[in-house]
Amino acid sequence: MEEGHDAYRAFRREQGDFEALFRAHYPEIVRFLAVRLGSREDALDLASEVFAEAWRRVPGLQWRGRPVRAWLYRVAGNMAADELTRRARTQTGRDAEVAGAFDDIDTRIALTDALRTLAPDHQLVVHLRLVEGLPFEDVARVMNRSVAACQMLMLRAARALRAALQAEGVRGA
Amino acid sequence: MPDEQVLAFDLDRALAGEDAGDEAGELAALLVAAADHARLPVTDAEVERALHAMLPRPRARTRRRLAPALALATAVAVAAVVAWIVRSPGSEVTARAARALDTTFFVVEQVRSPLFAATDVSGYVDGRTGRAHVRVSGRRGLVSETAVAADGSVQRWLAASNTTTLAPSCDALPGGCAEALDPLDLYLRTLRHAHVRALADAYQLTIRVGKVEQVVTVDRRTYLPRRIEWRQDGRRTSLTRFAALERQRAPVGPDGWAMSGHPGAHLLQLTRRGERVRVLSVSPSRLAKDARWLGPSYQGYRARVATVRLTGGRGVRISYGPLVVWNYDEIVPPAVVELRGPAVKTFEIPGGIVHASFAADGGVVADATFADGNVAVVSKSGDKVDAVRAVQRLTHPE
Repeated sequence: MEEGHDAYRAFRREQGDFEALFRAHYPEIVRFLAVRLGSREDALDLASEVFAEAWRRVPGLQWRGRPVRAWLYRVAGNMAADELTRRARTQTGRDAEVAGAFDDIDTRIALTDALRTLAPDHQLVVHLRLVEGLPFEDVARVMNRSVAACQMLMLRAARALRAALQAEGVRGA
Repeated sequence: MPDEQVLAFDLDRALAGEDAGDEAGELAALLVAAADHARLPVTDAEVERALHAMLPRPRARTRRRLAPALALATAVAVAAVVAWIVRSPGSEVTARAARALDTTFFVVEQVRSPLFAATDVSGYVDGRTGRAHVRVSGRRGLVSETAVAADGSVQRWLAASNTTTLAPSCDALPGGCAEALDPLDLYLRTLRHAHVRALADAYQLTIRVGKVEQVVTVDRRTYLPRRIEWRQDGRRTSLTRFAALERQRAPVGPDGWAMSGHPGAHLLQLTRRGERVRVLSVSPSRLAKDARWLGPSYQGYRARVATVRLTGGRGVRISYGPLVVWNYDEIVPPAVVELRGPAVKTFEIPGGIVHASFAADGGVVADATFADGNVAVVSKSGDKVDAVRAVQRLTHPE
């Protein structure tokens, strides 16, 4: 009960202070989008659009037991999907950009590409748990699933990652 | 399907650096490597630029950024002023100031400005060692708490995110240091060039840093500051009054320097370069001769040794069933950090000192500091007798 109360207060606090919300979550939304889009620069732009939407809509959000962060990820995921669909139509791939930002090591490129091929839910659970370092309890709140379901999702993500790497002829990491 | 759930759970354990079987270990290594590449840095400047582009409201932003910075800066100014006086060779105040430096101050400061909300700072500051423990409060209560140890390591808790950040130095914290504790050096450098004016019962030191002018009024009898005023373009931007500035005649006990407990706070550990500490890989290994352990077996459990590569360092993990011994250097393994709680008992063992803490969820960690390294005994099951007894039985391998 106390935890729910704290979560509600945190929700209201973030809802009422846009700048704090922005500073707290903009970097993680950029990182999330960078993997989805394969471009850090595109991610910076699209993250700004996510927060422009948040500026308009977050003040009117109703409390449904989930943090504002969950709403941000949902919007970011939808916008990323729209952007990828648009790109597929116009054939403007950006594959090289993120890979080029690393050290040009084959395995790193393969890992980046493999991560991008994961299903959106798999990407999100890996991102929240391992990139952002959230405990599974928080991951579960953002994803609106149970902790066990998130752990299972992580297992599937790992297997999908392994399969994608094996398909590329990369073994281990 | 239950097997799948078990494997999913094992994977989580493997991700935390535990030995959870071959498949879980392999998948965890893959995930950690992939996540490592996805951890793109987004700088504070990029965040501020994006925010500014969206909401050009400089006044509100200035308020939030300046308040803690100016507030805590004043805390170190106490020590800095005294230090400056000491650095004036031949000065008649040297002896007094030296005595002042040998003392810790309890400080209560009231920071007022037309630019930001009223802020109060209170806590202990040691001008000689740089040790500090201060709390910053605003209109709605406690905003942050910062503790800087004598070795320069720092802990900072922020109310807004309920996060406690641990870092080996102030430099590793985002935005420089814990809201300006480490401008101490800057102040020391600039104070040497201060213009000094004698008033009836005080000295007035004026320091200019860029466009900002800082005027410190120092008591002529005690040589301690009464107030610090910041001016820019001839206008006062902030005024700090010292509501209390008490020399501590007796040494301040451990509680005075220790962070308060912040229930539910997330822990974040940073390397010296400001990177977040994570487990990068786990691999079975042999124990080095200078490591400490509980022998080839302990309480019926055979020792299993693994080297855990961490961001910025590495640790050696020796597991004995539910009891785990970690050997580590500067970077504390996340499994140890997570179990550290506010309730600490300190006791000596041959060649070292132990801080035992009991986490809210029942885990126990007994952290031993030796001259040649650190060792932590961790018991997730919360058997404090086990952990405390075990830490006293640590030995080097034969």
